[in-house]
Amino acid sequence: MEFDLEDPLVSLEEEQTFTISELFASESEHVPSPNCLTSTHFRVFCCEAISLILQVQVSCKLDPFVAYLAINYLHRFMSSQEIPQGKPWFLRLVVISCLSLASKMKNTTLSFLVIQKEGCYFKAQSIQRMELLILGALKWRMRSITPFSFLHFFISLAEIKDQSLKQALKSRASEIIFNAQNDIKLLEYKPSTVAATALIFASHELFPQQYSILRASITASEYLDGETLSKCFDLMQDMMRMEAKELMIDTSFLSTETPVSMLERNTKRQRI
Amino acid sequence: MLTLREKYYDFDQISSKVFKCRRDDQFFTMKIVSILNEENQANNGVPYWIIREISILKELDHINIVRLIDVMTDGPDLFLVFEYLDNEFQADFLKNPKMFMYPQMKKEFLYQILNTVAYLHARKILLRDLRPENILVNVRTQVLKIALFGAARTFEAPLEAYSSSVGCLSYRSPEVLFQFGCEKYSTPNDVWAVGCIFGEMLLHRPLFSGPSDVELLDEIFTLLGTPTEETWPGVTSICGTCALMGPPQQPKDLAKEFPMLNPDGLDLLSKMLCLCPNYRISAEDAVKHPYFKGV
Repeated sequence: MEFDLEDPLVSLEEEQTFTISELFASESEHVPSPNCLTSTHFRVFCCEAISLILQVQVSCKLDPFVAYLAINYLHRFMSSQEIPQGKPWFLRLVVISCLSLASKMKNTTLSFLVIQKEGCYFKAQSIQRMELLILGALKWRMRSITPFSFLHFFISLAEIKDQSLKQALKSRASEIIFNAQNDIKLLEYKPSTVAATALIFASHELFPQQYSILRASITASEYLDGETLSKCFDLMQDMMRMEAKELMIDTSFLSTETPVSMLERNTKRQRI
Repeated sequence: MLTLREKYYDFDQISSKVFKCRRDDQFFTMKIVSILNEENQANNGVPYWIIREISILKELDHINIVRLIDVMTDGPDLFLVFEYLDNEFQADFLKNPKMFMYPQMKKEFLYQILNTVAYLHARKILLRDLRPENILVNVRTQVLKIALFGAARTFEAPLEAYSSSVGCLSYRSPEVLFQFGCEKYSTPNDVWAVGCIFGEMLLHRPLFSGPSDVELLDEIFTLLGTPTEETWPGVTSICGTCALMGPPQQPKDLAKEFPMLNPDGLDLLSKMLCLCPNYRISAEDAVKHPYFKGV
């Protein structure tokens, strides 16, 4: 048997409605349990683990989707466990195991030898034991339903004719989703809500003239709750603003202007 | 968390790695899968094919698919707990003599197979290895079950080892046979396999049974004609050498090859055995074919 991870749906004809509703019905089982989101230990642990996952992703040149899937496993697993204290090796072992499982699901098996070069020295046997522990905790449901699973469906609602426009929209929305995985607050929202929000943002950026049509068609979907979508939108907007600020700070080093000269320029503008 | 022996009991061996067992009033079939590799080393953790296959099975909930209910681990072994199929379910359904006594039963079972394939394809899941040995039937209740995990192959063997097995070639599509060594499966291959099974139901023998890729292709082209750029756009670029094509052959009259089949059945069969994968009928369309009117 084989399957496509990114897109569980083959077609979106009306006869497939049962599959779409099935997808929406199942997504709650692929998110961490709600109780853990208020736990400081959970947040601290996961932030550190995510940081390590993204670090390995860059150094090992992993598919971003593998990292995304690994983070999903991490959240689901750690929300079902107590965070062990005084075991610094535990975090690294969980990270390696989640990355290993994600790469196997993506069919790009990551050799343990490669990971060990990143300073994660564990015996293969230990990793296997942790893999089995995670698999059991996740009930072997490793084909996670992520926001990517819903993009195709929401885009189809807008009835966009231009294929390259669709593709650009999907790419930008995917990029937004990848970047958003750092913020643990998004875990409060279902993958479908995150997908819808990312698409609305992407359409506003890329195709302002299409924006209102797409937003209307997405928010009209029977599967989404308007109020929740609105909250998720606000959160993502804050994240985007933060991202923009960080970019501004970063690029300021590239400017040859000094703060004083910038101030002068602003003063001149005010005079005019 | 209950251990294996606390949760299940009354083990009764069925075959070397398969047991019948019980919990409360319910029976289950338990299969043991070792996750160590050939050198008994855990050199890269749990094998990816096991994770992927179990992950798929955990998602599936369909009356015609043998259900995976539980997964337990004990040291280097996995214990897969499936729904129990009693003695009324006969494995390798085409060897069941009652299959050939009632024509309506063939149609019913074909419909169930296609319905299952359509269900899987809707979830972007490919079977890749559908054949009669993986199919069990209960002729009394007329319920068919497809065993997706390890029913007919050794549990330790990874999927790739089976892909090259001679025994599997009979149900492989021409586009897959053309690219031996680098199989690129997709949904039309599964539909082709169902078409072969349909033909086998009618003829009481495998439709194609050559022992090698080349011989199989020759049998296929003998029945369905040698493909051309007209009947299969792009075929010359797919088949690496013209040797695979053999001398040009004209298609035979399916009505004469399958005299027992009515026009609707012939139409469905020809569409499932269409040489060009892009033109081949989908499982989703096949279940709506007029041949199944009244099922």
